[in-house]
Amino acid sequence: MSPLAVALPAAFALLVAALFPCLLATLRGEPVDRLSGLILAGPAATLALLLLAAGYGRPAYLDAAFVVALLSFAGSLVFARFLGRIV
Amino acid sequence: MSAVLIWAGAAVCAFAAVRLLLTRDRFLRLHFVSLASVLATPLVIAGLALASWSSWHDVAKLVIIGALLFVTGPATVIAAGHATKRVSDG
Repeated sequence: MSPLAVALPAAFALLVAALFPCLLATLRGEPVDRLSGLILAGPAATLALLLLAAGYGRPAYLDAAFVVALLSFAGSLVFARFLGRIV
Repeated sequence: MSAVLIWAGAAVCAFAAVRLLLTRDRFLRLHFVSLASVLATPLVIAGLALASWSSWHDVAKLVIIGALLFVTGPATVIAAGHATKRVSDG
């Protein structure tokens, strides 16, 4: 078994585990405090999808990661602008 | 080498997520947020790019996704920082 075959599932599990603190951060505090959890969840989910695409050997799955990266950026930016404006 | 880079990137992302949860200061939390897009993303992308893919198109797509995360991450953190400052100032 190659080192990559071991590293990919383990790194995927680590990234999915990293999503739980992000989820908890979005569930507590004031709205502007929750925003940081939402922002961090975007790259973590994108990287997890990239690892899935590599692990399954399906390059077409990279498109899903691209869409998530694009939408998480747009969503986080909209929330940041909105929260900064309502004060 | 590829496995080491992927592991390092995933570890940095997990570290940032845990520190985000444990840090109370609003502005300090944003530093850990940017860690994922500025450090973890290049590490994972470099590791995946070194793995075997069927075509160079796939590697180019990986690099584009990595560049997107690398560029948009600090921009999002700056916007969140502005929002945090406005809320903190009242």
